[in-house]
Amino acid sequence: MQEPGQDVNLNLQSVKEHSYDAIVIGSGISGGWAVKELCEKGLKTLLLERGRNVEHIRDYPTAMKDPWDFEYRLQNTEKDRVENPVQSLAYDESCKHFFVSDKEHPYVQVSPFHWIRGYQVGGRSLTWGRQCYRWSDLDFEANLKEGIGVDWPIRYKDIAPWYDHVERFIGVSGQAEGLPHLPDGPFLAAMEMNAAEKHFKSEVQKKFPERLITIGRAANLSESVNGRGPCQYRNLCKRGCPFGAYFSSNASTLPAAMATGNLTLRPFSIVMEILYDKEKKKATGVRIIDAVSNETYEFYAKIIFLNASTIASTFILLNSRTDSFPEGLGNSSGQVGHNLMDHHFRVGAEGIHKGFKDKYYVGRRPNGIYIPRFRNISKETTQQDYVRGFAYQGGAIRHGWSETGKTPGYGESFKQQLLTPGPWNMWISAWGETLPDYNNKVTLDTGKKDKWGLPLVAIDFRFGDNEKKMRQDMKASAIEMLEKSGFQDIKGFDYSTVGGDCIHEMGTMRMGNDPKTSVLNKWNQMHDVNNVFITDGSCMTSSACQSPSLTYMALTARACDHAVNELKKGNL
Amino acid sequence: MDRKKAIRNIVLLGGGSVLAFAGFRGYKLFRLPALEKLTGYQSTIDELSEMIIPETDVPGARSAGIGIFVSKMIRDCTDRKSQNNFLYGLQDLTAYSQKHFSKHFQHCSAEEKKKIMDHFEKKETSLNGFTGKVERKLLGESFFSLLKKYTVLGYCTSQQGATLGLSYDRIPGKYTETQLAPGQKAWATQ
Repeated sequence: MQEPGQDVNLNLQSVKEHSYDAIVIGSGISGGWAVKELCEKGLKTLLLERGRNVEHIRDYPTAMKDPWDFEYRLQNTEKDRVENPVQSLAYDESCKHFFVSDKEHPYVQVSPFHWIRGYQVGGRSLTWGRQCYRWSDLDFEANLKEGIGVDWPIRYKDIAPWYDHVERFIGVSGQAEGLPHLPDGPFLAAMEMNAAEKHFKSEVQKKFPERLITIGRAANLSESVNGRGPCQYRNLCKRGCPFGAYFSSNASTLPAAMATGNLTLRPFSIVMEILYDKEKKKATGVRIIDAVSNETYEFYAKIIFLNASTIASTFILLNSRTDSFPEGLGNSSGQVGHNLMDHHFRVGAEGIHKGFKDKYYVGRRPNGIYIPRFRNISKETTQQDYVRGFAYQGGAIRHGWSETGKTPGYGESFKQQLLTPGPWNMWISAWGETLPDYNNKVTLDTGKKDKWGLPLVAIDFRFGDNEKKMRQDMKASAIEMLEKSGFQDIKGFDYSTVGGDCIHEMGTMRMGNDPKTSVLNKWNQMHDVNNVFITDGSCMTSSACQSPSLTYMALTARACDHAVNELKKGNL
Repeated sequence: MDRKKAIRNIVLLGGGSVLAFAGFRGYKLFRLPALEKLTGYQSTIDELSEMIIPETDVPGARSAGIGIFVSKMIRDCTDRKSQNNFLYGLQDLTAYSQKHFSKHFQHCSAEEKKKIMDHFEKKETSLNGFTGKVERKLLGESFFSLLKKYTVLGYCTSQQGATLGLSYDRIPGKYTETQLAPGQKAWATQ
């Protein structure tokens, strides 16, 4: 590998033109936060994004469309299923343009794994689920207590102020509940529950005092924040919101970074590798390939934030091989690429309630109810056959045409039934913690190349016994709660999922105290290369059962603060 | 439970073995569907959709142009086995009306059409439940269920169906509980 500064013909002017204080790789949820924080702290920052630009509002072509504007009424075609077998699991006709093409972006499934991606400015922050839950010391201490993986190098007190910082900017609607293991934040007004949900909440709390039902905590603005929102209750978030009423990089962090005058955004920039100077023991910049022209360029900076998303960031490190790091940049521990996690989910139950016939609702709430973890949180709730726990998301609606249309018959009476609100249906579905396992890994398949000549990512992932045992409880507890609150026709479900389906990939560059067993320190700084910070999902030491994005954002803001302080002190 | 297990074992043996003894039926399912025939059946499909969602005080499937949508969905959004089932269903329906009423389906009286429709609906509702699910997986979706599914989808997402049949609130601006009004229509979108 050519190392910058060693080439005698190096054009010094070009180096200067290509130099910044900071480079951020990736513009999704965590990368967006990195550029906002770094730019606001005065750093000239280059943001590299491998996909096209997506400008807030202007590039949301489907946002204001009605159902009849879609040729296939939001159903995928056979062509979608054949040509995009993985991405089409996650997209529909209204948001397909925010997902990659499987054909153009192949990867190797050593075991089945669905790698669902959005290569564009804003990344998957455009299509994310928007649920925001803080972690607590129940999560940060678990690995240490149980001797699983490595200990988190931080505790709740380290991240709490950064949760505040992030939540105030992005806006999270929710209800403060005072639970120690699901800490509250500065919430916007909680969204409403409907009649069946309120009934479910009060019945469950009567029969299961340790189980709380609260409204989902979502980055959907029930009130306007920083000129964005409020939510119009259309529930079309994944198309991009023209009201800016949910958090995405495009609507929030990128405009804030741009407003400082310190941001340079370069779309179509595929980072091939991070450049390393073995004398200084620092990263000096990155080499990219322009996705359109296929030309390579180098950019230089004092610090680098790697936020390409868990698997893509792993690729970049593994592909940054030098004499100093033959197994990939900062991989002296041998942990880079290992301990891949994703939540396991799609297990729970649903049922019908015969009551509340006189009740209905107006609006489409982009949010549901939440049942925080209630297993293994105390001595009394300790389970014999598995560790950690799960939380439910759910909600009630009155059956609409997609269900009433399945009733037998045809003709006038069928039509009448089709057009009338059906019975109340309540569903709850669990999201469960997945334990870190060294065998679940991301590697490079150097024998196979993509259209830019880069080796393919190979993914080998299986859920373990703990997850399998937990799933039985996830289903049984859901059925039990619905049964005891007066629901009928209860159907438990356990749809088998493969890794990646939850789109919560984590863990391949974990944080830890010991450089021998972890990749990042407590500041998300590489143990081996102290001017590289990694704050996407890859930094996660365990997965908890909460949706992880809020924690990525808080860790990013915290790491940026540390990086800028260190830079000022001359330590980087 | 043993029955379920037995069926599951059949599934584990794979579609191939079931279809092997199905013989000709297997060939019929996997052959390249003669989609060009859909055009010739278009007025029959229009008629069938209208029978599922007829015109009342609010528009029916025909006014909403649903027949064409059903054909489009069969063409572009349906797997090969189900496409074949749909085409054979139309063929069977034509043959059935010839055999029982000695005329083309289109020329049958309303009462005769209803008899034909009842026959096809009955034939297929026997496939509900777990065995039905297994069958669907192996043999594709059935004629009547495809017809009904796409008619319902097309109608409820059409401008006529969503705004006149159902209730469509483009930008609600709020989410709140309400009392059900007399004659309340269901929401077109959730």
